[in-house]
Amino acid sequence: MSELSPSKRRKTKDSSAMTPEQAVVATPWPADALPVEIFNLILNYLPRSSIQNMRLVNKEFESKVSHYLFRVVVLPFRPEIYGISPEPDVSGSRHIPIDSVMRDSVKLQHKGMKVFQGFGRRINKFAMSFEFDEKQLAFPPLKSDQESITSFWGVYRWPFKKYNRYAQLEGLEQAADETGTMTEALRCIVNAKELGISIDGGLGWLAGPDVSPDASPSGAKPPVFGKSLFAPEPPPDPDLVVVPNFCDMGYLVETLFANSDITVPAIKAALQRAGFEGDSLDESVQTLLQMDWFTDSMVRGEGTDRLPGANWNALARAAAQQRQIASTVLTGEDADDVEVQADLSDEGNDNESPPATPATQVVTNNGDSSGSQDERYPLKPNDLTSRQREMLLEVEWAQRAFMQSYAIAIIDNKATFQNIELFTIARLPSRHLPILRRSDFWDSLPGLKSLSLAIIPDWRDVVKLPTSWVQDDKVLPSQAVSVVYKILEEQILRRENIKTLHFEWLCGGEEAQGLFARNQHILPAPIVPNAMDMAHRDLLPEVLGFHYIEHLSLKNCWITPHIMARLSTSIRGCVLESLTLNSVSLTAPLPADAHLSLIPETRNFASNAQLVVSTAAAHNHFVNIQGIGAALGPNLPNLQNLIAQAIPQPAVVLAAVAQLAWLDAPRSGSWSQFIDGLTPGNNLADMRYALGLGEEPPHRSRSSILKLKFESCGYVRLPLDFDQTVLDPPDVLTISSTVSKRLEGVDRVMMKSNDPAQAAIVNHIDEVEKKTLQEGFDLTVNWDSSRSDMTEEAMMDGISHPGRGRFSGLIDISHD
Amino acid sequence: MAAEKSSIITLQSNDGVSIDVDRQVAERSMLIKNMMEDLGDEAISTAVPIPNVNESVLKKVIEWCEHHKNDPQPAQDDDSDSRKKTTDIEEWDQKFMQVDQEMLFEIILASNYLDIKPLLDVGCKTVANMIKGKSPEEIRKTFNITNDFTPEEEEQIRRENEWAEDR
Repeated sequence: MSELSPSKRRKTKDSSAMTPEQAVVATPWPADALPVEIFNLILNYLPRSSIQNMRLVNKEFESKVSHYLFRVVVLPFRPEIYGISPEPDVSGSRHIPIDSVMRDSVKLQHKGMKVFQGFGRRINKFAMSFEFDEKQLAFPPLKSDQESITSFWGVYRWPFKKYNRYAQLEGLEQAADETGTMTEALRCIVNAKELGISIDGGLGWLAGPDVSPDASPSGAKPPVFGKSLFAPEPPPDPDLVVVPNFCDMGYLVETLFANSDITVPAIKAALQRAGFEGDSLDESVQTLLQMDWFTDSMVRGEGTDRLPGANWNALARAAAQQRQIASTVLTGEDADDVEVQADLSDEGNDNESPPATPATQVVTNNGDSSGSQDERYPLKPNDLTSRQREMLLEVEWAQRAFMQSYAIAIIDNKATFQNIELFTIARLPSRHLPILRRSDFWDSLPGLKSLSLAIIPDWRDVVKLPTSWVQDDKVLPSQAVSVVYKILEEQILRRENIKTLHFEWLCGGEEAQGLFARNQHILPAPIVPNAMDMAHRDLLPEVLGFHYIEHLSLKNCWITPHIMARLSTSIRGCVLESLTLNSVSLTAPLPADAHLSLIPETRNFASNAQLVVSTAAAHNHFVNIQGIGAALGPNLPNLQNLIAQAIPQPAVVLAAVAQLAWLDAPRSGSWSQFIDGLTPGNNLADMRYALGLGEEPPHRSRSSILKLKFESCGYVRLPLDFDQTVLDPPDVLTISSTVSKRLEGVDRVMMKSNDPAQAAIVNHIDEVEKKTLQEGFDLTVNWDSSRSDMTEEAMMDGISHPGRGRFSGLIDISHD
Repeated sequence: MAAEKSSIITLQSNDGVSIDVDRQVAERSMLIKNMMEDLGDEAISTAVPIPNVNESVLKKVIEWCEHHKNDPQPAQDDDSDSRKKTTDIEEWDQKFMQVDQEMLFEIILASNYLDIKPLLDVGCKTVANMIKGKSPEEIRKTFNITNDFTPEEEEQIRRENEWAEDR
């Protein structure tokens, strides 16, 4: 007998000398001895990846573990469920007919449906996601402009008669159109209490190259339901992980292949030298091969493992210049500004000419060397390539189809979803929100108690012209305010069952990353019908009434003081118990009867930096350092001097503040005034009376609010023509040389908006008000150590004093 | 009260062995503690049967209870994230758990039956630590488990694993 019985072994072995690993090996697994409850306890301590691996151990493990894994499901709307649609051959000659793709898709769809049927009832939280990938947008899949046509004399290539689509996106759109399939799939989610969606089509703000060099790309997808139920994954071994920075891929390749032939082995070898290994290596090779810079003829060479020998620099330039020709011709740019060259011979250092292309003429901007410098960025948010525009267009089509199917699938599954209590719209482009503005959708969720709504405002629209040319047009992000207002007013706030509401803008603000996004582009709270209703005091817009909402939460938005006053009045008559404001800001008070317009100098970002800064300072229209940076462009190195010259040194006002001045009536239109009026606790008059400094305050009618929570609230500045001096910080803004260099580097490729309703954070609060908030309402002014990571990130994004002047805290009498 | 706490009770394993144990030690088990409260002195005079646990396992469990007799009792609903997510195990417990697989799972089952939450946690954490970071094949090897899947079934499970995300 080669194996001792367990009891004998226990008697003969010194158990204390064994590691669990050593001890365990010899004993067979006690089949079915451990109940599911014990498995659950073990699973509590394991990350998701380990639980996935446990499912693969044996049938017993699989049966006892699977329910745990599928409690929370965020299902990417990818071909894994609705069928994988292979990308067609780029030359067009091997184009896979879409029906064939869909036939394959149906087979896989069947398998996908089995998963729904198998695990649907185990799901507690179910969300579907459909998010564009900015890296993929930077390097769109190859797509031919021409098709192969066979005639009696042979095969020739000719431009497509109709708009040629990305096969994968077309397949995805067709899958999204399968409303019946989605309805059937969602019918399996019988026990869920929470639903969610997460959609991003890339038509909002694009960061492009505005990425801090110190920011570590985590690669993690943004949360949908929030905190994971699983134990955290162990950190990856830093020695084994290489995360390519796709923004700099072009630059990397340029360096790697300078003066050498580009072949597949050469690419592989170069990437290996750069530290790529395993799957990451293969993926990176494929990424490079799919880059826009490789022409069709080069890709055809892939089969021979050798791409046509060419100097990288020449290749990249040729491809970029070709695109510029197309752009010039099709957008009708002024031909006088461009110079046509016969060839690339003036690129002296190139050993070989680029491969012959139909376009032998090359266009460069006369006298502007910066254009070629920008070519290192594969994604230029303000100047997308035609392929990128087409990709965004097709993603929009597919997402629209998806949203329509989703809405109908929910409506058709009313019985299935009657127990849904929480609906999380983790992200959704404003353009798709009207799809949910229908009674039957919300009627299908009769048990809904809580709704979380995070909206991505559109910055651009993409349209296909009759010529098949796809163009993008700027859209004012603040137009999204009306869209959100309408759905809140017409549907959500009319439903007695919805008691908890959270709203936030996914656009700029204190959590946005990047020099050109952080602390900027903040939109008004969608509590008035149009964005500018916030600012125009000559009109009296409707303000949303939150009649049935007991818990209201707003994030990343601004409100003008007079609208805040009306909101406070409206809240008093409601059943609101808690109000949470996260990164919500007030503006300076607007003059009565104001009908404001954009300040002239922000309408046209002038090339004269001195003028911009002087005017801005004179009117106190300073947005913040980034806003000015964006306006100044290449003249940034002199920014500090310009600002110092332009801003008059502030008067010293703080010394005269009396010791108890904070107890006086607060400034009209300030946070203190708002909190004083709405606080469920003692207000300033109560405090004055308690200190013997005032008369007994008359009885005040209190609102139903028991909790007021603030997280990093404060003030914003608007790019509008009115007096905002009350928000001026006493010190001069500074900008480090590193930041100014980065600003200068990417400014010309970043998106610009002349939206009058986009505000920027003011990192300042008046000293007296600071004391009122601290002493009177026990709030914390300025960020504390709990936000140290965010502080660091904000500083990398050029914010000199992150969190300064922002207040946080809780006024809670719910337990009194 | 002090005398009562230091009194000795007798536990009887399912293989008929009687083990005397200090009451304070035995009451690390919520099952025994509740039983003692219900039965009072009667429980002291007669042996308390522990039908699901054999002698060797019971002794091992008592060893753990002896070492941890002065630990504060865990809160009733101590199911917080902090408790369940960390897999750190104190040194003595680590050594205590260096036993063969059968004993390890018997300790887990016994602590579950006897309702000794901290010991159950240590046992489950030990098993979790043996699983964490391992491939399916490595898990099989660790626990001496035979793979009873066909390649097709394995492929299906792999696909299901990739079906959804958690975020």
